[in-house]
Amino acid sequence: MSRRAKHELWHNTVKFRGILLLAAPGALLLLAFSYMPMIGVIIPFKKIDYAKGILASDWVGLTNFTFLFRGGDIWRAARNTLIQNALLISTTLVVSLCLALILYELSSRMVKTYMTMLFVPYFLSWVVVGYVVYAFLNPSIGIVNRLMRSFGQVGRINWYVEPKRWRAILTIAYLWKNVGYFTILYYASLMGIDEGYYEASSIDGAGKLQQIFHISIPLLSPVVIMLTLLQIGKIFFSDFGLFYFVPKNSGALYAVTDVIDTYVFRSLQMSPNLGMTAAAGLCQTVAGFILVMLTNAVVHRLDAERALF
Amino acid sequence: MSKRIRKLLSTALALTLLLAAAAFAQAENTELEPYHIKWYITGPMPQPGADRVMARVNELLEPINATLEMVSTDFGNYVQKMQLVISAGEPFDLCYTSNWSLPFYATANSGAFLALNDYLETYCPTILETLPSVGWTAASIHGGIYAIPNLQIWAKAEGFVIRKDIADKYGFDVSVLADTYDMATIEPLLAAIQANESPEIIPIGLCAGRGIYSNHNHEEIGGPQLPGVVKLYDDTCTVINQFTDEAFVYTMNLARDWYLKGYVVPDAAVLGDMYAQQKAGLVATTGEGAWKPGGDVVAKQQMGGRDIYDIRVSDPYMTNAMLISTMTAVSATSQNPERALMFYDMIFSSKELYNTITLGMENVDYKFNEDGTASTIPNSGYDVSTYGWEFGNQFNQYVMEGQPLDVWEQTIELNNTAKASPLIGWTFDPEPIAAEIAAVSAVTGEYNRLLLTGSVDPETVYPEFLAKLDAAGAQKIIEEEQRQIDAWKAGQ
Repeated sequence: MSRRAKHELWHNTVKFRGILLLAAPGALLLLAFSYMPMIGVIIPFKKIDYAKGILASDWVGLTNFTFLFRGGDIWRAARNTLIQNALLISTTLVVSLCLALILYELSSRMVKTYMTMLFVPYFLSWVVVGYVVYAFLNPSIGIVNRLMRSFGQVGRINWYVEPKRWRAILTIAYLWKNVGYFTILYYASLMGIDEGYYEASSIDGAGKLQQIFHISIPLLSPVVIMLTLLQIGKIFFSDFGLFYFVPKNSGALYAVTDVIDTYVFRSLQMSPNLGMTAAAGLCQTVAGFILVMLTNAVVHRLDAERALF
Repeated sequence: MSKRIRKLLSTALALTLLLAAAAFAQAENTELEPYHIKWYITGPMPQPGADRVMARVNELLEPINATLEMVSTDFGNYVQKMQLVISAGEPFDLCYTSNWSLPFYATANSGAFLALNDYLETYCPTILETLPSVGWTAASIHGGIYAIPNLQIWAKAEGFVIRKDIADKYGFDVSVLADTYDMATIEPLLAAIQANESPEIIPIGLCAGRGIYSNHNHEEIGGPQLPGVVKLYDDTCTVINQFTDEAFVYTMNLARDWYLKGYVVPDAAVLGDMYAQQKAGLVATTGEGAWKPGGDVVAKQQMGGRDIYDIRVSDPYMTNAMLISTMTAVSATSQNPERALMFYDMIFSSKELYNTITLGMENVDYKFNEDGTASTIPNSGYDVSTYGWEFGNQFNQYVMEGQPLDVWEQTIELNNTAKASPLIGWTFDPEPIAAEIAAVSAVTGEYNRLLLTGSVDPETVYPEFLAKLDAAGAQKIIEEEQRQIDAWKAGQ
């Protein structure tokens, strides 16, 4: 580094010390929890022996990965992961965006009530949600089957054995739990939009719908894109609780509910193995990384300014 | 110097002297440094009264100058928790291990447990004296002893429970089942219940967590989810795939038949247990985890206190799986394995210590009855009496109210007379086929419960199951198991 450059670096450090100080805690956390654990990327390639420790354990090449591809069910799990998450992400986006736009039009006192009602399920764990769903779908005493009977429907649906409706059930359960969270995010972004745009447009004679399509949505799109990209990155670490507790881990439903996380859990539950678990984790991370890059590339092509990077 | 400070100093001096004297006295009593033993278990804690009971336990541990801390995690999370503890290299002393939770062979193979061979003679005289040698054989891997099997019932027999009032009402003779061991013989009873009792009554409490058993008579090599069993009467030790065995097909078809007839709840495949329904008196008959002397007391409790027939439906056999089903290992990270083992030896030698850990304090948590049995005092805040199998030597436990007075003698007798599985002394090393085991576990995890609860049609699903087992490498697992057994037999 030339003397001049050094001088400049020092100069800038002093100049921006306030901002650097602000960034420090976040950067340190990122370093500690996201970058340092990356050393663990060697674990999938080792036969972990606790007595020897991680670094001294023997290298075993790709053997820890073979179990994933041995039975062929991993492809079913990958397909379910992609399809179900595409459903979840798109429906959440549409529903929570609509709700946020509606809330934006309401008086502020009512908004608080609605927001609280939407947000409460977000704090429930999937185990609890699983039992709520079970209360509806229990084949003998569940609410749904009883309602159907009282409407004269003969026979009952054995929900936990018939897979065909479960993509919808999972989507509804997910929406019920998570829509409030995203609605609040979008609502907060809406609040940040300058009132001036709306005033100007109404002077020009724009109606509510025009305002939504020409002001609200375009101005929200950076937030929408960022949140969606973040969700896509986590697709392969699917929401384990949703796919395990809500269908009550029923084997008959695996055709649509088995995702990579539940598959790996089932494989290694009885014979836990750090190397193999880490191997599965690494595959999920790589797949997630590829998905994020792909999505970003698509966004970039459509509208370069909106892309995340 | 003010008066107050002078006073303070003199008090401090006096205290120091006192403490020094106390420490000196202690040093004379025992040459052992104080040591805090950390013991990971699964199930019963936290108990509200644990603090006072542990204080009492620590009094009992004064001779070895140790204090005890028991850390408990529920059954569902124990394995994950222990893996974290172990992979983090956290120092601890003892932990529960078995064939079903924190799997013994896999965990020992990963180097987490200390080999006890050099310690036992010096520190565990009582255990060496009490524990039958077959226990040590089962706990050995390549000559190293990696855990102490807990002394409890080692003979395995399957049981079946029928509510007495219902069986008597329909004149059902339970001896038919007891003589034939054939589950199909209860069909007339189930049909009668279905026809005459209210629709709320579940004829058979068959569910994912509690299957029915019909004459399997085999030793499972790598657990219930893995293909590979040896028939108990087969001295040639031929490994077969239990999922293609006729006993499996028979049970599967029986379950399907009963499911279609409505004897089984429609969501049986997603129910881990039916304890709530049993307590409420809604279940007429149910399988039992394992039949054992005095087990009818527990079964009766589980049926909400209703009288029951507790029927043994298989010959008692001693299997590797039973021998290692409850064990305690010393961690490789223990700072003082000697003291941990001295403590564990005390559990075997001191009835008082054992019963304080399991029952709590006399006249607070439990009391003795006139006939010499003990009964727990409800809501005292401490009761782990049903987890006695987790703590060393269950034969030390006071006989509980309702159990026959000679329950432990009966159990020891059963242990001694049970036929031994031909595989006793052999240990399975899953390492060479870890990938196949994981892949196959995923398959059996999907189909086993479905087929054995009758929830799906075997016509279409069973062939699918077998095909997937094949693809996942079931045959390779069976061949490897056979290879290891043959090598072991050749070496004998």
